[in-house]
Amino acid sequence: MLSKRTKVKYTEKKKKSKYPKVSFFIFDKWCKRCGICVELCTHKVFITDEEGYPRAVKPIECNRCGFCVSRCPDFALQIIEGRGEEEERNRKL
Amino acid sequence: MTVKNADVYQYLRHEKKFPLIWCSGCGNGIILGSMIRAIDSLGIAKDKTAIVSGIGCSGRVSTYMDFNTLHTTHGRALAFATGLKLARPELTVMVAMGDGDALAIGGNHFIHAARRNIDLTAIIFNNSIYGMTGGQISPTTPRGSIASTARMGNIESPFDIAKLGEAAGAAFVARGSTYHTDELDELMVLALRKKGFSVLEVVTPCPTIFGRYNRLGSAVNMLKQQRDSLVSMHDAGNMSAEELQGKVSLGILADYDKPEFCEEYEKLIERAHKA
Repeated sequence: MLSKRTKVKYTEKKKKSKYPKVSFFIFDKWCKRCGICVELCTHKVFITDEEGYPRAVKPIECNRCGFCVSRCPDFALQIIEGRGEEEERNRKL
Repeated sequence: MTVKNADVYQYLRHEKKFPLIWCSGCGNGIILGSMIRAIDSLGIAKDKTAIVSGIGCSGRVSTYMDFNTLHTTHGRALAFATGLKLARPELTVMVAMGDGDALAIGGNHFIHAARRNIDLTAIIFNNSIYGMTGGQISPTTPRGSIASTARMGNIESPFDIAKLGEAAGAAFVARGSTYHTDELDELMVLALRKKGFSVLEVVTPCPTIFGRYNRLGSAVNMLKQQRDSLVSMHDAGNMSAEELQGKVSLGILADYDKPEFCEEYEKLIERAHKA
């Protein structure tokens, strides 16, 4: 369905989150690198990579307010509850 | 939080028309998402919804949404929508217009649709400038701002869309912004539910044209300025008069119960049959 997708896996294993786990999908093909999700996230979940695209480096900090999704002007960001592996597998079909 | 955009894609023509044509950081996409979430939360079927749009950056809304859509001539979106609503009263009709589209070219259509109080939801994308044609001053450009036709600063006073709509007779008038997206979703739902002409002005940033001429910084900075200069309806009750001074309030600005045009027209037909 959606052509290009990116998933960044969280690597810090020591810290435990008080919120349920979420996964972030960023569609680079649609993203226009405006930086709204990176700058306006109150929990600093995202960073900008060297090409200017957002990358979710701390999904464990996410409190699931959903403002990054609703403020993304290009529908390029999607949050999926859980690890999101099933969704990713379905989308490959 | 619910996963907000998981269901959004079924209402979009994303396989053919994406990525969006709008500039990086343009707020129109945020309003488009809010419109879809409002329709989704009300559970209105795709076939029972019609999106009418005019010309301009906001006119592209009808291209991206997978409903019955109508892309009309400049300023005449409300005129087309009036005809559509009268022919098919069972449809929920949303009209997406820009500020120049609604108030300059279609200004007369706007005040008369409001006077007639026909059951439409007019969403006005207020970015304070004509973005698509290169940054001419629009009826909502603030006094003193720079545009391509006002290089030394605009000397005209802007329209207040909410007051204009209320004075012309609209049943529901509200103002939202692209920073306060949760509130925008609520207002969009209320505007859709209201029987009668509802006007929803949405303040949206234009970082490429308006922001660049007036040195307002990036799209992120323009959204932060919205946060600082606008007061959401939930916060306004807790703030003192001094804090509210110089700020523009969001939320519901007028809500009246008035006779609606389609219902009155049905009654007229019944009366004519009896006579």
